[in-house]
Amino acid sequence: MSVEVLAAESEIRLQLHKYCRAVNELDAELLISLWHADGTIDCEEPALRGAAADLTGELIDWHRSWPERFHQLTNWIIKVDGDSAVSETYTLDVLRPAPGRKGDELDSHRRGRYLDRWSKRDGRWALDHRQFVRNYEWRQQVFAGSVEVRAQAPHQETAVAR
Amino acid sequence: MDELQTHLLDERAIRRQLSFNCRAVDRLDVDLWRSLWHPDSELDDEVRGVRGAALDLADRLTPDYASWAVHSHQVTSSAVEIDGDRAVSETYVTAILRGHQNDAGEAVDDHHRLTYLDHWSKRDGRWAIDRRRVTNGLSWHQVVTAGRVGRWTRRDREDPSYELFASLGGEDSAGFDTLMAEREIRGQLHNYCRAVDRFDVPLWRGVWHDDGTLDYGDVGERGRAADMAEHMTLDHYPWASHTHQSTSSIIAVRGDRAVSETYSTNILLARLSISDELIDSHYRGRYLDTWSKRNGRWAIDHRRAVSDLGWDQVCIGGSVGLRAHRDREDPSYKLFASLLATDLESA
Repeated sequence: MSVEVLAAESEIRLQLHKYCRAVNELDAELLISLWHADGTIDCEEPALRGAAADLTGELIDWHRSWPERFHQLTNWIIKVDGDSAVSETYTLDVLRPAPGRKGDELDSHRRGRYLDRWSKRDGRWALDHRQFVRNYEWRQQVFAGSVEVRAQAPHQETAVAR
Repeated sequence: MDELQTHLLDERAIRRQLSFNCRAVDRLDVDLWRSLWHPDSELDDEVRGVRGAALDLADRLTPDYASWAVHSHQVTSSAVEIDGDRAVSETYVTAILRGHQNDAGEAVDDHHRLTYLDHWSKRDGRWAIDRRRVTNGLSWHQVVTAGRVGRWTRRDREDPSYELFASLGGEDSAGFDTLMAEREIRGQLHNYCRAVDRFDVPLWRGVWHDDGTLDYGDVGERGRAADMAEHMTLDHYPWASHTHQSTSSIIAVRGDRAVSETYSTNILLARLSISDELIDSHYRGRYLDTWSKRNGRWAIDHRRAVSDLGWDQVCIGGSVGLRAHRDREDPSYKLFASLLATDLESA
Protein backbone atom coordinates (compact mmCIF):
# COMPACT_ATOMS: atom_id res chain seq x y z
CA MET A 1 0.00 0.00 0.00
CA SER A 2 1.43 3.31 -1.00
CA VAL A 3 0.75 6.99 -1.09
CA GLU A 4 -0.01 6.62 -4.81
CA VAL A 5 -3.02 4.41 -4.05
CA LEU A 6 -4.37 7.00 -1.61
CA ALA A 7 -3.86 9.71 -4.21
CA ALA A 8 -5.66 7.62 -6.84
CA GLU A 9 -8.60 7.10 -4.48
CA SER A 10 -8.74 10.82 -3.78
CA GLU A 11 -8.80 11.65 -7.51
CA ILE A 12 -11.49 9.06 -8.23
CA ARG A 13 -13.61 10.40 -5.38
CA LEU A 14 -13.33 13.87 -6.86
CA GLN A 15 -14.46 12.57 -10.25
CA LEU A 16 -17.42 10.81 -8.61
CA HIS A 17 -18.52 14.06 -7.01
CA LYS A 18 -18.12 15.95 -10.28
CA TYR A 19 -20.67 13.62 -11.84
CA CYS A 20 -23.20 14.81 -9.24
CA ARG A 21 -22.38 18.42 -9.98
CA ALA A 22 -22.66 17.80 -13.73
CA VAL A 23 -26.19 16.37 -13.55
CA ASN A 24 -27.36 18.75 -10.80
CA GLU A 25 -26.21 21.77 -12.82
CA LEU A 26 -26.81 20.24 -16.29
CA ASP A 27 -23.17 20.76 -17.23
CA ALA A 28 -22.71 18.60 -20.36
CA GLU A 29 -19.06 19.56 -20.79
CA LEU A 30 -18.18 18.47 -17.26
CA LEU A 31 -20.21 15.28 -17.68
CA ILE A 32 -18.42 14.15 -20.82
CA SER A 33 -15.03 14.90 -19.25
CA LEU A 34 -15.57 12.13 -16.69
CA TRP A 35 -15.22 9.40 -19.31
CA HIS A 36 -12.29 8.53 -21.51
CA ALA A 37 -12.99 9.16 -25.20
CA ASP A 38 -13.86 5.47 -25.74
CA GLY A 39 -15.76 5.13 -22.42
CA THR A 40 -19.15 3.39 -22.25
CA ILE A 41 -22.39 3.47 -20.24
CA ASP A 42 -24.89 0.79 -19.30
CA CYS A 43 -27.62 2.53 -17.34
CA GLU A 44 -30.77 0.83 -16.01
CA GLU A 45 -32.70 4.10 -15.77
CA PRO A 46 -32.83 6.08 -17.93
CA ALA A 47 -32.25 3.02 -20.14
CA LEU A 48 -29.05 3.92 -22.00
CA ARG A 49 -26.36 1.66 -23.35
CA GLY A 50 -23.43 2.51 -25.57
CA ALA A 51 -20.65 5.02 -26.07
CA ALA A 52 -20.65 7.71 -23.38
CA ALA A 53 -19.79 10.37 -25.95
CA ASP A 54 -23.04 9.59 -27.80
CA LEU A 55 -25.23 9.41 -24.69
CA THR A 56 -24.27 12.26 -22.39
CA GLY A 57 -26.68 14.57 -24.25
CA GLU A 58 -29.56 12.20 -23.52
CA LEU A 59 -28.45 11.90 -19.91
CA ILE A 60 -28.49 15.70 -19.52
CA ASP A 61 -31.90 15.93 -21.24
CA TRP A 62 -33.32 13.28 -18.93
CA HIS A 63 -32.15 15.21 -15.86
CA ARG A 64 -33.43 18.46 -17.38
CA SER A 65 -36.91 16.90 -17.50
CA TRP A 66 -36.91 17.14 -13.68
CA PRO A 67 -36.83 20.91 -13.03
CA GLU A 68 -35.46 20.36 -9.53
CA ARG A 69 -33.04 17.57 -8.79
CA PHE A 70 -30.43 16.74 -6.18
CA HIS A 71 -28.03 13.89 -6.75
CA GLN A 72 -25.65 12.79 -3.98
CA LEU A 73 -23.25 9.92 -3.39
CA THR A 74 -22.22 7.89 -0.34
CA ASN A 75 -20.38 4.62 0.51
CA TRP A 76 -17.62 4.72 -2.08
CA ILE A 77 -15.63 1.47 -2.17
CA ILE A 78 -12.66 2.02 -4.49
CA LYS A 79 -10.10 -0.67 -5.37
CA VAL A 80 -6.96 0.42 -7.19
CA ASP A 81 -4.49 -1.77 -9.04
CA GLY A 82 -1.77 0.28 -10.73
CA ASP A 83 -3.43 2.35 -13.43
CA SER A 84 -6.76 0.48 -13.19
CA ALA A 85 -9.48 0.74 -10.59
CA VAL A 86 -13.04 -0.34 -9.89
CA SER A 87 -15.54 1.31 -7.57
CA GLU A 88 -19.02 0.93 -6.18
CA THR A 89 -20.87 4.05 -5.01
CA TYR A 90 -24.38 4.47 -3.62
CA THR A 91 -26.63 7.21 -4.96
CA LEU A 92 -29.14 9.29 -3.01
CA ASP A 93 -31.47 11.23 -5.33
CA VAL A 94 -34.54 13.40 -5.15
CA LEU A 95 -36.18 14.41 -8.44
CA ARG A 96 -38.99 16.95 -8.52
CA PRO A 97 -41.30 17.17 -11.53
CA ALA A 98 -42.61 20.34 -13.12
CA PRO A 99 -45.77 21.60 -11.40
CA GLY A 100 -48.89 20.54 -13.28
CA ARG A 101 -52.44 21.85 -13.21
CA LYS A 102 -53.81 19.36 -10.70
CA GLY A 103 -51.15 19.93 -8.06
CA ASP A 104 -50.92 16.20 -7.44
CA GLU A 105 -47.33 15.76 -8.62
CA LEU A 106 -45.07 13.40 -6.75
CA ASP A 107 -41.38 13.76 -5.92
CA SER A 108 -39.33 10.76 -6.92
CA HIS A 109 -36.89 9.44 -4.31
CA ARG A 110 -34.31 7.00 -5.60
CA ARG A 111 -31.43 4.86 -4.47
CA GLY A 112 -29.04 2.95 -6.68
CA ARG A 113 -25.40 2.18 -7.26
CA TYR A 114 -22.74 3.04 -9.79
CA LEU A 115 -20.44 0.16 -10.67
CA ASP A 116 -17.47 1.78 -12.36
CA ARG A 117 -14.30 0.77 -14.15
CA TRP A 118 -11.58 3.42 -14.19
CA SER A 119 -8.19 3.81 -15.80
CA LYS A 120 -5.47 6.39 -15.57
CA ARG A 121 -4.28 7.56 -18.96
CA ASP A 122 -1.86 10.45 -19.44
CA GLY A 123 -2.09 11.20 -15.73
CA ARG A 124 -5.91 11.45 -15.66
CA TRP A 125 -8.31 9.05 -13.93
CA ALA A 126 -11.52 8.72 -15.94
CA LEU A 127 -14.27 6.18 -16.55
CA ASP A 128 -13.85 3.28 -18.95
CA HIS A 129 -17.32 1.94 -18.15
CA ARG A 130 -20.16 2.88 -15.85
CA GLN A 131 -23.00 0.52 -15.01
CA PHE A 132 -25.94 1.96 -13.08
CA VAL A 133 -27.94 -0.48 -10.96
CA ARG A 134 -31.26 0.68 -9.53
CA ASN A 135 -32.06 -0.36 -6.00
CA TYR A 136 -35.45 1.25 -5.52
CA GLU A 137 -37.69 4.24 -5.93
CA TRP A 138 -40.68 5.63 -4.07
CA ARG A 139 -42.87 8.66 -4.71
CA GLN A 140 -44.30 11.18 -2.33
CA GLN A 141 -46.38 14.28 -2.58
CA VAL A 142 -44.53 17.55 -3.13
CA PHE A 143 -44.67 19.82 -0.10
CA ALA A 144 -41.99 22.24 -1.20
CA GLY A 145 -40.03 24.24 1.35
CA SER A 146 -40.14 24.33 5.12
CA VAL A 147 -43.36 24.12 7.08
CA GLU A 148 -44.68 27.67 7.61
CA VAL A 149 -46.15 27.23 11.07
CA ARG A 150 -43.46 27.42 13.69
CA ALA A 151 -45.34 25.86 16.60
CA GLN A 152 -43.54 23.10 18.40
CA ALA A 153 -44.85 19.61 17.97
CA PRO A 154 -46.31 18.15 21.17
CA HIS A 155 -43.90 15.19 21.23
CA GLN A 156 -40.93 17.51 21.65
CA GLU A 157 -40.81 17.44 25.46
CA THR A 158 -40.52 13.69 25.65
CA ALA A 159 -37.97 13.77 22.87
CA VAL A 160 -35.78 16.29 24.65
CA ALA A 161 -36.11 14.52 27.98
CA ARG A 162 -34.62 11.30 26.68
CA MET B 1 7.26 14.88 3.84
CA ASP B 2 6.62 14.83 0.14
CA GLU B 3 4.11 16.98 -1.68
CA LEU B 4 1.58 14.20 -2.26
CA GLN B 5 1.46 13.26 1.42
CA THR B 6 1.01 16.89 2.41
CA HIS B 7 -1.84 17.22 -0.07
CA LEU B 8 -3.59 14.11 1.30
CA LEU B 9 -3.19 15.27 4.89
CA ASP B 10 -4.58 18.69 3.96
CA GLU B 11 -7.58 17.05 2.30
CA ARG B 12 -8.14 14.93 5.40
CA ALA B 13 -8.05 18.01 7.64
CA ILE B 14 -10.65 19.79 5.50
CA ARG B 15 -12.98 16.77 5.25
CA ARG B 16 -12.70 16.34 9.00
CA GLN B 17 -13.79 19.94 9.54
CA LEU B 18 -16.80 19.28 7.29
CA SER B 19 -17.77 16.32 9.46
CA PHE B 20 -17.18 18.31 12.66
CA ASN B 21 -19.61 20.84 11.21
CA CYS B 22 -22.39 18.23 11.39
CA ARG B 23 -21.53 17.29 14.95
CA ALA B 24 -21.33 20.95 16.01
CA VAL B 25 -24.80 21.74 14.65
CA ASP B 26 -26.54 18.55 15.75
CA ARG B 27 -25.06 18.61 19.26
CA LEU B 28 -25.37 22.43 19.52
CA ASP B 29 -21.65 22.55 20.33
CA VAL B 30 -20.86 26.26 19.97
CA ASP B 31 -17.15 25.84 20.79
CA LEU B 32 -16.75 23.15 18.15
CA TRP B 33 -18.64 25.31 15.67
CA ARG B 34 -16.29 28.25 16.38
CA SER B 35 -13.29 26.01 15.64
CA LEU B 36 -14.43 25.62 12.01
CA TRP B 37 -13.78 29.30 11.24
CA HIS B 38 -11.00 31.85 11.20
CA PRO B 39 -11.57 35.04 13.25
CA ASP B 40 -12.51 37.10 10.16
CA SER B 41 -14.69 34.47 8.40
CA GLU B 42 -17.96 35.28 6.65
CA LEU B 43 -21.08 33.13 6.49
CA ASP B 44 -23.94 33.62 4.06
CA ASP B 45 -26.61 30.99 4.76
CA GLU B 46 -29.74 31.39 2.65
CA VAL B 47 -31.38 28.41 4.35
CA ARG B 48 -31.16 29.64 7.95
CA GLY B 49 -31.42 33.22 6.73
CA VAL B 50 -28.23 34.39 8.44
CA ARG B 51 -25.42 36.45 6.99
CA GLY B 52 -22.41 38.06 8.60
CA ALA B 53 -19.28 37.41 10.62
CA ALA B 54 -19.28 33.68 11.34
CA LEU B 55 -18.02 33.96 14.89
CA ASP B 56 -20.67 36.54 15.75
CA LEU B 57 -23.29 34.12 14.42
CA ALA B 58 -22.02 31.29 16.62
CA ASP B 59 -24.06 32.61 19.52
CA ARG B 60 -27.21 32.25 17.43
CA LEU B 61 -26.65 28.54 16.84
CA THR B 62 -28.40 27.34 19.98
CA PRO B 63 -31.34 29.83 19.89
CA ASP B 64 -31.87 29.20 16.14
CA TYR B 65 -32.21 25.47 16.69
CA ALA B 66 -33.91 25.62 20.09
CA SER B 67 -37.40 25.20 18.68
CA TRP B 68 -36.50 21.83 17.14
CA ALA B 69 -36.43 18.60 19.09
CA VAL B 70 -33.81 16.72 17.08
CA HIS B 71 -31.99 17.12 13.77
CA SER B 72 -29.50 15.26 11.62
CA HIS B 73 -27.09 16.98 9.22
CA GLN B 74 -25.07 14.60 7.08
CA VAL B 75 -22.26 15.28 4.60
CA THR B 76 -22.44 13.08 1.51
CA SER B 77 -20.17 13.73 -1.46
CA SER B 78 -17.80 16.65 -1.68
CA ALA B 79 -15.10 18.04 -3.91
CA VAL B 80 -12.06 19.47 -2.16
CA GLU B 81 -9.50 21.26 -4.32
CA ILE B 82 -6.32 22.51 -2.68
CA ASP B 83 -3.70 24.98 -3.84
CA GLY B 84 -0.96 25.47 -1.24
CA ASP B 85 -2.44 27.05 1.87
CA ARG B 86 -5.77 27.76 0.19
CA ALA B 87 -8.59 25.49 -0.83
CA VAL B 88 -12.16 25.48 -2.07
CA SER B 89 -14.78 22.84 -1.49
CA GLU B 90 -18.28 22.01 -2.61
CA THR B 91 -20.17 19.77 -0.20
CA TYR B 92 -23.59 18.18 -0.53
CA VAL B 93 -25.51 17.81 2.70
CA THR B 94 -28.79 16.24 3.78
CA ALA B 95 -30.63 17.74 6.75
CA ILE B 96 -33.77 16.67 8.60
CA LEU B 97 -35.21 18.76 11.41
CA ARG B 98 -37.98 17.47 13.66
CA GLY B 99 -40.11 19.20 16.26
CA HIS B 100 -42.48 21.60 14.51
CA GLN B 101 -46.13 21.18 13.65
CA ASN B 102 -48.34 22.52 10.88
CA ASP B 103 -51.54 24.51 11.40
CA ALA B 104 -53.53 21.28 11.54
CA GLY B 105 -51.52 20.36 14.64
CA GLU B 106 -49.69 17.53 12.90
CA ALA B 107 -46.00 16.86 13.59
CA VAL B 108 -43.95 17.80 10.54
CA ASP B 109 -40.34 17.08 9.54
CA ASP B 110 -38.34 19.57 7.45
CA HIS B 111 -36.06 18.01 4.85
CA HIS B 112 -33.28 19.85 3.01
CA ARG B 113 -30.69 19.06 0.38
CA LEU B 114 -28.01 21.72 0.80
CA THR B 115 -24.77 22.79 -0.80
CA TYR B 116 -21.91 24.32 1.19
CA LEU B 117 -19.54 26.34 -0.99
CA ASP B 118 -16.46 27.03 1.09
CA HIS B 119 -13.21 28.94 0.76
CA TRP B 120 -10.54 27.65 3.13
CA SER B 121 -7.12 28.73 4.29
CA LYS B 122 -4.47 27.16 6.45
CA ARG B 123 -3.17 29.53 9.06
CA ASP B 124 -0.66 28.48 11.73
CA GLY B 125 -1.14 24.89 10.62
CA ARG B 126 -4.93 24.94 11.00
CA TRP B 127 -7.41 24.62 8.13
CA ALA B 128 -10.55 26.66 8.68
CA ILE B 129 -13.24 28.31 6.59
CA ASP B 130 -12.74 31.85 5.28
CA ARG B 131 -16.10 32.19 3.52
CA ARG B 132 -19.11 29.90 3.32
CA ARG B 133 -22.18 30.19 1.19
CA VAL B 134 -25.03 27.78 1.92
CA THR B 135 -27.58 27.25 -0.85
CA ASN B 136 -30.76 25.21 -0.76
CA GLY B 137 -30.82 22.60 -3.50
CA LEU B 138 -34.24 21.18 -2.79
CA SER B 139 -36.44 20.98 0.26
CA TRP B 140 -39.78 19.66 1.43
CA HIS B 141 -41.71 18.98 4.59
CA GLN B 142 -43.78 15.97 5.45
CA VAL B 143 -46.24 14.99 8.14
CA VAL B 144 -44.85 12.36 10.50
CA THR B 145 -47.35 9.90 11.87
CA ALA B 146 -45.16 7.07 13.11
CA GLY B 147 -42.11 9.04 14.31
CA ARG B 148 -39.33 7.78 16.54
CA VAL B 149 -36.62 9.61 18.48
CA GLY B 150 -33.63 7.65 19.80
CA ARG B 151 -33.13 6.96 23.47
CA TRP B 152 -29.48 8.04 23.64
CA THR B 153 -29.20 10.97 21.26
CA ARG B 154 -28.64 14.36 22.88
CA ARG B 155 -28.10 17.92 21.75
CA ASP B 156 -25.29 18.66 24.19
CA ARG B 157 -22.04 17.18 25.43
CA GLU B 158 -23.94 14.46 27.25
CA ASP B 159 -24.31 12.79 23.86
CA PRO B 160 -22.41 9.47 24.03
CA SER B 161 -20.10 10.50 21.16
CA TYR B 162 -18.16 12.79 23.54
CA GLU B 163 -17.48 10.02 26.02
CA LEU B 164 -16.41 7.74 23.17
CA PHE B 165 -13.81 10.19 21.85
CA ALA B 166 -12.56 10.97 25.38
CA SER B 167 -12.04 7.23 25.90
CA LEU B 168 -9.15 7.23 23.42
CA GLY B 169 -7.18 8.88 26.23
CA GLY B 170 -5.06 11.69 24.82
CA GLU B 171 -4.36 13.25 21.46
CA ASP B 172 -5.17 11.38 18.31
CA SER B 173 -2.48 11.33 15.65
CA ALA B 174 -2.54 13.09 12.30
CA GLY B 175 0.44 11.65 10.41
CA PHE B 176 0.62 9.52 7.30
CA ASP B 177 -0.06 6.32 9.31
CA THR B 178 -3.36 7.88 10.34
CA LEU B 179 -4.37 8.27 6.70
CA MET B 180 -3.77 4.58 6.16
CA ALA B 181 -5.68 3.60 9.31
CA GLU B 182 -8.60 5.85 8.45
CA ARG B 183 -8.75 4.48 4.93
CA GLU B 184 -9.03 0.93 6.25
CA ILE B 185 -11.59 1.89 8.89
CA ARG B 186 -13.69 3.77 6.35
CA GLY B 187 -13.46 0.72 4.09
CA GLN B 188 -14.90 -1.38 6.91
CA LEU B 189 -17.69 1.16 7.49
CA HIS B 190 -18.66 0.82 3.84
CA ASN B 191 -18.24 -2.98 3.93
CA TYR B 192 -20.85 -3.03 6.68
CA CYS B 193 -23.42 -1.27 4.47
CA ARG B 194 -22.62 -3.48 1.53
CA ALA B 195 -22.79 -6.61 3.70
CA VAL B 196 -26.28 -5.82 5.00
CA ASP B 197 -27.64 -4.75 1.64
CA ARG B 198 -26.19 -7.74 -0.24
CA PHE B 199 -26.85 -10.28 2.55
CA ASP B 200 -23.11 -11.03 2.65
CA VAL B 201 -22.78 -12.77 6.02
CA PRO B 202 -18.97 -13.36 5.96
CA LEU B 203 -18.34 -9.73 4.94
CA TRP B 204 -20.61 -8.54 7.78
CA ARG B 205 -18.86 -10.78 10.31
CA GLY B 206 -15.45 -9.50 9.13
CA VAL B 207 -16.27 -5.93 10.15
CA TRP B 208 -15.85 -7.04 13.81
CA HIS B 209 -13.07 -8.87 15.57
CA ASP B 210 -14.05 -12.37 16.59
CA ASP B 211 -14.82 -11.22 20.15
CA GLY B 212 -16.31 -7.89 19.01
CA THR B 213 -19.69 -6.82 20.36
CA LEU B 214 -22.58 -4.56 19.44
CA ASP B 215 -25.33 -2.72 21.24
CA TYR B 216 -28.21 -1.59 19.02
CA GLY B 217 -30.31 -0.67 22.05
CA ASP B 218 -33.04 1.13 20.10
CA VAL B 219 -33.91 -2.04 18.22
CA GLY B 220 -33.16 -4.42 21.08
CA GLU B 221 -30.06 -6.08 19.61
CA ARG B 222 -27.09 -6.67 21.87
CA GLY B 223 -24.34 -9.28 21.99
CA ARG B 224 -21.31 -10.80 20.28
CA ALA B 225 -21.40 -9.77 16.64
CA ALA B 226 -20.07 -13.08 15.30
CA ASP B 227 -23.10 -14.85 16.79
CA MET B 228 -25.55 -12.40 15.21
CA ALA B 229 -24.26 -12.14 11.64
CA GLU B 230 -27.02 -14.21 10.03
CA HIS B 231 -30.00 -12.56 11.59
CA MET B 232 -28.58 -9.01 11.44
CA THR B 233 -28.33 -9.38 7.66
CA LEU B 234 -31.00 -11.87 6.59
CA ASP B 235 -33.71 -10.41 8.85
CA HIS B 236 -34.03 -7.61 6.28
CA TYR B 237 -35.64 -10.13 3.93
CA PRO B 238 -39.28 -9.00 4.49
CA TRP B 239 -38.48 -5.63 2.88
CA ALA B 240 -38.43 -5.45 -0.90
CA SER B 241 -35.16 -3.50 -0.89
CA HIS B 242 -32.97 -1.49 1.45
CA THR B 243 -29.95 0.79 1.52
CA HIS B 244 -27.63 1.49 4.42
CA GLN B 245 -25.67 4.64 3.65
CA SER B 246 -22.75 5.93 5.69
CA THR B 247 -22.19 9.65 5.42
CA SER B 248 -20.10 11.94 7.66
CA SER B 249 -17.56 10.10 9.73
CA ILE B 250 -15.09 11.37 12.29
CA ILE B 251 -12.27 8.95 13.06
CA ALA B 252 -9.60 9.41 15.74
CA VAL B 253 -6.60 7.08 15.71
CA ARG B 254 -4.03 6.48 18.43
CA GLY B 255 -1.54 3.75 17.59
CA ASP B 256 -3.40 0.49 17.12
CA ARG B 257 -6.64 1.82 18.59
CA ALA B 258 -9.26 4.10 17.14
CA VAL B 259 -12.75 5.45 17.73
CA SER B 260 -15.23 6.72 15.17
CA GLU B 261 -18.59 8.38 14.87
CA THR B 262 -20.38 7.71 11.58
CA TYR B 263 -23.71 9.15 10.50
CA SER B 264 -26.08 6.82 8.68
CA THR B 265 -29.15 7.09 6.48
CA ASN B 266 -30.85 3.70 6.42
CA ILE B 267 -34.04 3.07 4.47
CA LEU B 268 -36.02 -0.15 4.28
CA LEU B 269 -38.54 -0.15 1.46
CA ALA B 270 -41.95 -1.81 1.28
CA ARG B 271 -42.70 -4.35 3.96
CA LEU B 272 -46.22 -5.72 4.02
CA SER B 273 -47.90 -4.70 7.28
CA ILE B 274 -50.58 -6.54 9.21
CA SER B 275 -53.16 -4.18 7.71
CA ASP B 276 -52.04 -5.08 4.16
CA GLU B 277 -50.22 -1.80 3.56
CA LEU B 278 -46.69 -1.54 2.22
CA ILE B 279 -44.62 0.38 4.78
CA ASP B 280 -41.20 2.03 4.38
CA SER B 281 -39.02 2.52 7.46
CA HIS B 282 -36.56 5.41 7.64
CA TYR B 283 -33.70 5.66 10.12
CA ARG B 284 -31.16 8.42 10.76
CA GLY B 285 -28.56 7.73 13.37
CA ARG B 286 -24.91 7.29 14.22
CA TYR B 287 -22.61 4.35 14.75
CA LEU B 288 -20.21 4.90 17.66
CA ASP B 289 -17.37 2.44 17.23
CA THR B 290 -14.19 1.42 19.02
CA TRP B 291 -11.61 -0.21 16.78
CA SER B 292 -8.35 -2.03 17.18
CA LYS B 293 -5.74 -3.29 14.75
CA ARG B 294 -4.83 -6.89 15.44
CA ASN B 295 -2.52 -8.89 13.19
CA GLY B 296 -2.56 -6.03 10.71
CA ARG B 297 -6.36 -5.87 10.45
CA TRP B 298 -8.60 -3.04 11.65
CA ALA B 299 -11.96 -4.27 12.95
CA ILE B 300 -14.57 -3.26 15.51
CA ASP B 301 -14.22 -4.12 19.19
CA HIS B 302 -17.58 -2.58 20.07
CA ARG B 303 -20.31 -0.78 18.16
CA ARG B 304 -23.08 1.24 19.73
CA ALA B 305 -25.81 2.40 17.37
CA VAL B 306 -27.39 5.68 18.44
CA SER B 307 -30.67 6.37 16.72
CA ASP B 308 -31.35 10.07 16.16
CA LEU B 309 -34.75 9.99 14.49
CA GLY B 310 -36.86 7.74 12.36
CA TRP B 311 -40.33 7.20 10.99
CA ASP B 312 -42.50 4.87 8.98
CA GLN B 313 -44.47 5.92 5.93
CA VAL B 314 -46.84 4.22 3.54
CA CYS B 315 -44.98 3.25 0.37
CA ILE B 316 -46.36 5.07 -2.67
CA GLY B 317 -45.20 4.23 -6.16
CA GLY B 318 -42.52 1.87 -4.92
CA SER B 319 -40.45 -0.09 -7.41
CA VAL B 320 -37.21 -2.03 -7.28
CA GLY B 321 -34.48 -2.46 -9.85
CA LEU B 322 -34.02 -5.57 -11.98
CA ARG B 323 -30.24 -5.82 -11.71
CA ALA B 324 -29.71 -5.52 -7.97
CA HIS B 325 -29.55 -8.77 -5.99
CA ARG B 326 -29.28 -9.53 -2.31
CA ASP B 327 -26.71 -12.25 -2.92
CA ARG B 328 -23.50 -12.81 -4.87
CA GLU B 329 -25.37 -12.59 -8.16
CA ASP B 330 -25.31 -8.84 -7.66
CA PRO B 331 -23.17 -7.36 -10.46
CA SER B 332 -20.86 -5.65 -7.93
CA TYR B 333 -19.21 -9.01 -7.16
CA LYS B 334 -18.21 -9.54 -10.77
CA LEU B 335 -16.87 -5.99 -10.92
CA PHE B 336 -14.62 -6.37 -7.88
CA ALA B 337 -13.46 -9.84 -8.94
CA SER B 338 -12.40 -8.44 -12.32
CA LEU B 339 -9.62 -6.32 -10.86
CA LEU B 340 -6.29 -8.04 -10.39
CA ALA B 341 -6.24 -8.51 -6.66
CA THR B 342 -3.39 -6.59 -5.12
CA ASP B 343 -5.72 -4.37 -3.15
CA LEU B 344 -8.40 -6.77 -2.05
CA GLU B 345 -7.12 -7.49 1.43
CA SER B 346 -9.96 -5.57 3.04
CA ALA B 347 -12.68 -7.04 0.83
